[in-house]
Amino acid sequence: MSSSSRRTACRGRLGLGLFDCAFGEFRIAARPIAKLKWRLMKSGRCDQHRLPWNCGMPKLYHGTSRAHATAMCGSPNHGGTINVWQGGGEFGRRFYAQSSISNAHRRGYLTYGGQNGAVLVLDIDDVPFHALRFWRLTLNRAQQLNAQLTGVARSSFVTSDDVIIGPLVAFPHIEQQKFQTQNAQNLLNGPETQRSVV
Amino acid sequence: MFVHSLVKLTERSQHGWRAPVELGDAAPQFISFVVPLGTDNEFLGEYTCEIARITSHGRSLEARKLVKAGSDSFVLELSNDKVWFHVRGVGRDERRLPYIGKLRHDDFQGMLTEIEPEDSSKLDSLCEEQSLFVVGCDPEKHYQDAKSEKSGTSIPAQAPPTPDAKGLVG
Repeated sequence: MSSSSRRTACRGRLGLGLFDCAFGEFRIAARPIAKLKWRLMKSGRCDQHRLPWNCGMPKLYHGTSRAHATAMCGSPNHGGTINVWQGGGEFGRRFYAQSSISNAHRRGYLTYGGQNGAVLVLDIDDVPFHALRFWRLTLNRAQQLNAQLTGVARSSFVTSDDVIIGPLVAFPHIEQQKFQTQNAQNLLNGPETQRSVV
Repeated sequence: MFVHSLVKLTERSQHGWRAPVELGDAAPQFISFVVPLGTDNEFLGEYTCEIARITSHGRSLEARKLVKAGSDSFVLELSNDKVWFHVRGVGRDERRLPYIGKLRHDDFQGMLTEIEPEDSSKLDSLCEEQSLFVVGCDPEKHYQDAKSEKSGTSIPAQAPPTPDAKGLVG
């Protein structure tokens, strides 16, 4: 089986959230999610904190300024105003979130100042979240991609996937999510995501 | 001397550290913990480390000590908890890097070394359970020329700083 067809099979069979830790993208596809989670936690390679969707609802964080966070949070009646076409990071242009609340707080505080920094918390319904199309990166793949993206490539790189998930290259213990498409934006701004600012 | 929170990057062929406040919206998702070395290029016995407490009125800062405990380990003692850090394993040429930004602080005269938490989930637990997170050295309070002028109201579609040769984003 070629690697591309294996990846397709992986996406088709999974469509589910799972932290891939040190495993390859393709080995995950062959294992039932619950069993794999259990194995990862038992082996100490993963813990509860590294699985943002462990409790069902994926909880993601975006450290930014209070003005940005409040604007993106929007209102329950009108939804959020997150624009996934803005922002940038290790996997190119678009909107990023991460699994670490403390790291998100540090980014907000240290970049925008003590009183201006804040964190946008995204509590996403697990079913629509897992219905998105993911590209899950191993650490090696994340490092390769980050190294490839220089200059214009970094400001323009996107794929057709709704979300790219992978470790932070600069600190792989933390996972990041890059939201890329209108589908992803609709979910983040819609009623299936609870947005709050802390 | 303080623990600092800086970003590693390469600019105009210079490799070193800059403060996130200088990068504004282009600051990467992860910000490193960094400690300055003494004049003999050795670690000090202890560093000041500021902790932010999230309150209903914003954030309040508390100063704590990060104490050297072993050859490359440090411990940050909180009221009823402790967090261990160690020197991050990187190549020899990356172990000691200078500050290459424009802000001023006494600790930026010498070389700086990155440390990392032994268990990063511990920092998340502190945040969730005690509303604390580690700042290190508050740029507004301690860095001369620090301005939060990049905290505007629009998010530019801007790329982050150039990754260094080893693919580590600054």
